Amino acid sequence: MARSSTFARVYFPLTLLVGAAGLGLTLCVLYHALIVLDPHMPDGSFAIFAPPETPQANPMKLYDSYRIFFVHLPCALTTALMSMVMAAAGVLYLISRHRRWDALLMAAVEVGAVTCLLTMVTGYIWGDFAWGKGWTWEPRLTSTLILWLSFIALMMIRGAVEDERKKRMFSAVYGLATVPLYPLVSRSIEMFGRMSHPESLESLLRVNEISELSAVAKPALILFFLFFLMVRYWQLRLAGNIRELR
Amino acid sequence: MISMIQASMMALGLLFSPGELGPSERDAELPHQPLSAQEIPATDPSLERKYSDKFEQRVREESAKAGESIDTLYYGMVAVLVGVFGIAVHALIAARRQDQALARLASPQGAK
Repeated sequence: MARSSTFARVYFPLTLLVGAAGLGLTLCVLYHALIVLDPHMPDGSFAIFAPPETPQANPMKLYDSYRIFFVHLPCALTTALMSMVMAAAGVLYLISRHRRWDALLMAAVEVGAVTCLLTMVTGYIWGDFAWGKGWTWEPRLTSTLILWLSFIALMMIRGAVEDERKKRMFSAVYGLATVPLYPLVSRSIEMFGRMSHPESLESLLRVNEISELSAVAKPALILFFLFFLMVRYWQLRLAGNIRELR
Repeated sequence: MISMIQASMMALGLLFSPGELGPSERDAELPHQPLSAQEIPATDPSLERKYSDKFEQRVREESAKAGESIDTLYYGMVAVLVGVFGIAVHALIAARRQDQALARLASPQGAK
């Protein structure tokens, strides 16, 4: 009888635990965000400044639209996290040349592409309500699009390389080359100036219940996406093992 | 470096929004004479308040209607999240089976 692997003993229950915790917390956050929180709060409670090009000088009221922040912010944070994992896995692969880092890098790229897309879609929906324009070519939005395209580009280019070793080496170098992209997204407003996107949403959400729920929403959704990272990592590692056996 | 990034962003913006490069044909036909200070009507504060109140009322009515669709949205999102989670768990179980099969193949008994 073969000895059970680390995957079966440790990784499998751990992944399930992370997934169950992430799903449970995410469902709680959604329940509070959509059902419990009252959308009719006192005027100006959750005000946010209008983009400079709009004629109204007063802060605009968000009404129901603030609910989308509980998804938008955690998705943006997960994208940042995946970007960091991608860079770290690239460095570790170049140092050790072990396939596990390549699997981690690709899992981070896939999850990052999904969360980045979700960030842009939720941002578009909110922008359409708040600014009357879902998409504007302003620094924060454009740099996020560039980051998403970099994720997609790696997946596409990787598919075009046949040699496994070259594929892994290319991905690691590419992962390192994209290191400046996330700082570009997060510091784009400081570097190029603010146009529409606020620098920080949290400082503008002036209601305690919203800030508290936002603080729970971030770890909840990050855990949920971490579960997908773990699942994809093991799928990719096993696929690599099978290829090697052949 | 920063100016290069800025220039590439601008180029990307121009590439995807060619309509913003210059005035369209329709705009070119319109007279572009700015209004003088005398021609701009003075804003009436009571009128502004009236329209602001009306807008507020309209939003509250729309919000009440949206309340029902928010319930539907919540249950829809629960269904999607649980569904996606189920698919991922299924993939994880399949990966465990694969891993066990690989472990059997790698063991001395399996190799025989």
